[in-house]
Order: sequence, then structure tokens, then C-alpha cells
Amino acid sequence: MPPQPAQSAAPPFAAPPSAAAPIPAALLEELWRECGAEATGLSEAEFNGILLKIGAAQNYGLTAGTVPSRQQQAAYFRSVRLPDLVLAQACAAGNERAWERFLALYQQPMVRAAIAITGSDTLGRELAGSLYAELFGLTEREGERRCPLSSYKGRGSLAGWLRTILAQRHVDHCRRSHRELPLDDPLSSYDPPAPEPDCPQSLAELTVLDKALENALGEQDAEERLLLAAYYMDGRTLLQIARVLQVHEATVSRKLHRAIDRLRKRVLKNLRDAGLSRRAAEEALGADPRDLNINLKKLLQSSEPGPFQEKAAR
Amino acid sequence: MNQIPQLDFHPDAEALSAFAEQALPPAERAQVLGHIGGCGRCRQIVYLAQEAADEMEAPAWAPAPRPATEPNRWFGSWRLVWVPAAGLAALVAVAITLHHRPATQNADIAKATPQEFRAADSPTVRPMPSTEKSRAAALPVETKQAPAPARAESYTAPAETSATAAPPGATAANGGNFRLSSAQPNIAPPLAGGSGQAFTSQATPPEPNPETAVAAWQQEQQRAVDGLSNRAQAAAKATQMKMRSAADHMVASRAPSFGPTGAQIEATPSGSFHRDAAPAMAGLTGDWKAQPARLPSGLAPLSTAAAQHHMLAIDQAGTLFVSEDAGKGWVAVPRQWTGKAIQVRLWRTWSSNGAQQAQAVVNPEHGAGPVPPTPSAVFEMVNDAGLAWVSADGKTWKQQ
Repeated sequence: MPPQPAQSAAPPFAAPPSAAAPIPAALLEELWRECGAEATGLSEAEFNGILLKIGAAQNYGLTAGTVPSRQQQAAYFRSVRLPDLVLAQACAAGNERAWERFLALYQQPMVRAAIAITGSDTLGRELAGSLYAELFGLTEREGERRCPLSSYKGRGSLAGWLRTILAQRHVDHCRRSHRELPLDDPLSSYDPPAPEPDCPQSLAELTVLDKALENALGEQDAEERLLLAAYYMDGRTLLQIARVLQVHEATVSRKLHRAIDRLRKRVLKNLRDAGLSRRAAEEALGADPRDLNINLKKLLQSSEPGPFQEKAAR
Repeated sequence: MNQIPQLDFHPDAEALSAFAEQALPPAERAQVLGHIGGCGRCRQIVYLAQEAADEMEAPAWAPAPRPATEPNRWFGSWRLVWVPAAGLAALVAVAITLHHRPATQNADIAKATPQEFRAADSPTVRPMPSTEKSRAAALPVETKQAPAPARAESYTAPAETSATAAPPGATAANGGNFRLSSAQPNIAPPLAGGSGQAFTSQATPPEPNPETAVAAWQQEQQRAVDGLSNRAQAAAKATQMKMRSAADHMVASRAPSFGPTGAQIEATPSGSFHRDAAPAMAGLTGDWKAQPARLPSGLAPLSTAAAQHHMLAIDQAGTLFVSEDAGKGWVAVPRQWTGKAIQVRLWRTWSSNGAQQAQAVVNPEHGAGPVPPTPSAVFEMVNDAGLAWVSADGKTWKQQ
């Protein structure tokens, strides 16, 4: 018998006061049938409250202050994964029948996904168990039980969201534990500098090359940067990258070659802009990378300050 | 451009999941793409989530895994080829069978055909029509087993002997189109009748003169026999027997069950005459080509029969007409039968003086001498109920 799920102090499906426009009865009835809300044990009033809460949370996809019309309400509800969203909200509200349905639908997939992510049956089951406990609301924050399911907004599938949560937990766990690794052999990963060349390039030339390369990488667009980082830094295969981007493997290969050619041309251009001749610029590209005083990882991982506000778990 | 690493803030799981599922709007997708391009953590999360999804559900564009218990796939894929291959093999077998059968039949026909008919260099030989080939295919087996020596002798028979062996009526009957070989002395007498001329001329059929024809035939036969060696004579007789047997069997196979015995009486429905058997049967069916285009009733003939200048015809309404002048004038026959007349045909009995001696003529081995037979015609009419009436002159009918 699972423990009692988290219950919020306020009525779970009370319509938020900001919900200006009620949902039409016909639309509510249609969405009720499409979502199979009856299987989750929700009454029509509870279902209506969930929809109003979902809509008010994002103002039906409109800018703040805009009063949605009925058509905009219907379009918004059809643009999200409403069945998953209703189930997640019902679970977050502590509906027992919704939890039973959730377990029936997602318990085994969660375990399998966790095993696939961790690569270990034990670690996978442990990871899935910890996430299940977290979803069930056993954790408290600021004196209040928090259920991560309430943050699900229905933009992707609930299964995909759960897999991403599992991957997040696993990556954060590895990053935390990686920092705790003992430095048994600090020189094991030491990459010695290249031997002195016969005709060493001047420090000024290397500095120009560093700057040209840094600028060229900074001019690359997001997709090219992702391709270069995934292929050369993460060591991902073309097939793995293709599956993430949902394109064909050959497309990734073609884009990757195009990104490298473009990067080379930009570096050459930057070198010539810095005053080097064409021949000198091409010779500079043949410099030993170990002589360069640049951190490609740092350059590729630099990103613009985006709108993401989620802080990585420490 | 700010190149300060922003590793502390990341897209939430919702955005990463929607990014992997291509569910983000373009603007937000570009933001997430720009982030994960520089964020190893988020890239790793996306990769791991994608790998987990691949483990749990095969992508639609991936090939389906092959079952482990599946037998040899290469052979299995060829299993479907057996159906058209078997059909093709059956078709080839049928084609080969059909190809060999006409050749065999042609060979058999050639065995039963006089040499002059088979001479390829003869300008008078006409190819056998397809309908006649099919009829020739009905020849019995014994006809196909002509003795080789006889064929060899007939090949060596001198041409002038063949020419002289045939009675004058034979050559005249064919209008020079073919000559009878030395193997046909006994067939010649029937050809002496005027019916033979119907092969080339239907307009003026001569009156039959059996006595003259028989006498001439006997003389020619004696000369032919004297000119041939004993062996050639035996071969000629054997060939003659085969030809007679072929004609007999052919007629017998077409004889209706309610008619007289096929060995003694030959039925030759008008308009369906075998050219190979024409020399032998010429005396039986007179104007076998003379089919009137229109009868006095204005209708086309449904069935006709002719014995020399005596012709009978049934029109499409079932009315029987008789003509005694080789089709020039037609007279309707009063109705003496029941039902609707649908077919009229000619029955011939081989008799010398009224008595039926057809058996002796057909099978000379049974002791019959060279008595020249005289054919006597009997018309038979069949109505739509299958009942038959017979008549000697075509005017007075009696139910059989």
C-alpha cells in the first residue's frame, strides 16, 4: 500500500482567482472524453479546476494580461498533452486513483529507463525508487511537500519528461560523485606539451592564432557548436547525434563537415585580418594544437545567458 | 557576445524533454539548442534520455529487429519465388507438350498420306488447314503405326508408276492438284465418281458411271500391279490399308451413336470434310463445297448434305429444302418429322449390289476380293430432340 500522497492545504482543484474566462461546457465535455478523466477518478468539477489551473499558469500560452477567448482556450488545450497533464496534476493533488493509473502506466517504464540510463540494474532501480519517492511528495521544501509532477506543463510526453528527470538525477549524481573521486594519479591524464619544433613559431603568431580561433568559434551558430562539441568533445557518434536532433545520420555528417570548413575559413579570415599573409595564415593552421593557449572546452561551453533559471543540483 | 560560461542555469526537464521530442516552438528550440551546444551537462542529459527512450521503444525509422527464431531469411525470401516459378514451369511444360503434339500428329498424318502429298517440292501441294490438322489428330493409334518398310517402298515407288496406278478419274477429280500414289489402287474406284470433280468444279458435276470407272480402275490396277515388285505391291497394300483404316476410324469417331455401325456406314456431315481423306471420300460426298448462301426461305443454311447432284439443306427456321440439280433449284420438303430439324447429313453404305459389303471393302484382309464397291447414299436428318429420320431421296422421310 503506497503511502498517502502529498496533499496541499488549499483545495486541490480550486480555480485560481486569476482565471477570468471559464471553460465552456461543450469544450469541457469534449476534453473530458479525450483525456479519459473518468479513469483517473476525477469529477467534472475537479477536472474543470485542473484545466483552469493549467490555463492560468501559462495564461493559455498568451502574453500576460491578455484575456483568452474560447477559441484560444481550446487551441491551447489541444496544443499540450492534456491527458498526461491532467494525470500529472491529479497525482500532484494526491488523487489515489490517479496514482494507481500512474503506477500502472509508468512504474515499469521508469525502472527500465533508469536501468538504461545508469547501465546498472541496481543503480537503475535505486534511481527509479528515489524519483518515485520524490514524485510521491515525500520531500519537503520550506515546510511544504513538493511534488515535481506539478512542474510538468504538458509540452512533451510525460514518459519523456520522466526519462529526462531520471537522466538529470543521474548526471547530477555523477557530477557530484566525480568531484569526490580521489586523485590517485594526478599525472595519469597529464598531456605533456609538444616538443620544441625545429623552427618554432613566434609567440606573437600563436597569440594571433589563439585569438582568431576564439573569435571563429564564437561566431558559430548554436547547431554547429552543438555538433562540434558532441562529436569532438563528447565523443558521440553520428548516429547518437542524429537521434537527438531527429535527422538522418548522413545529415549530421554533412553538417559537421560544413561546420569544420566554415570554421577553417573563419580562422583564416581572422588570421589575415590580423595582418598575416595567406601563406602565413595557412602555415599557422598547421601549428601543434598543444602549443595553443586556448581552452576549446571552455570556448565551446560558453553560452549566452539564456532564460533558463533552473540551477543544477549540487 | 558574452562568453562567460553559464553553467549554473539550465533548461528544466520539461524543456529538454520537449526539445528531444521536437515539441518546442522554433524560438525556444533555438534557445535550448544554443544552450546544450555549450553545456555538457544538458547534452549528457539529452543523450541519456534519448538512449533510454531507444531502449524502451524502438524508433519508427529504425529497422525492426530480426526474430532470433527466424529460419534462414535468404531461403525464406525465396519461398515466394516458388509460386511463379512453378507456374512458369507448368506453362513451359504445356507449351512443350503442345509443341510436340502437332509435330507427332503431322508425322502420323504424313505416314498415312501418299508420298505425293508430302512432297515439299510439289507446287500443287497445299498446306493443311488448322481445322484439318485438328481432325487429323483424331486418327487412331494403329493409323500412326504405319510400317516403316511400306513407307520406304512408297518413297522408292517410281513417279510414273504412281501416275499410271491411279485411275483416270482420280487425276481428273483433283484437277491436277494431287496425284495418287501407287499405294492407292483400291481407293481409286470411289474417286471415279463425279464427286471427285467437285474438288475443282462444282458447276457441272458429271453423271456417275460406275461400270466404266470400275473397268478402268481394274485395268489400271492390273498395270500398276504388274509394274511393281512384289515387295512394293505389299507396301502399297499396307499403305492402302492404313489409309483406309484412317479414313474409317475418322468417320467412325464422328459417327453418331444412333446411326448405323461406323465400320459399314460412313457419315460425312456436309461442310466438314477432311482434305486428306478427300480422295478416299470424294465419291461419298458429292458437292461438299456447294453450300447455298441463301435458301428460298431467305435464310442461311443451318446444315447441308450433298450426294453428287442431290443436295439437302436446312435453313435456320428448320425448313428442309432439297435440290436435285446441285443447288441450282431448291424445293421445300413437306414436314414429315417432329420438332425442329437442325441437322442433315449423308450416310453412305458401301455395297456392290444392294447388299452391304462395306466391311469387305474396308478390310480386304478378311477375304474380300477386289470387288469394286458402289456407294449408296442415305440422308439422315436430326431434329432438336435428337430423333433421326432417314431418307434415300431427301423427300420421303422415315423415322429411324
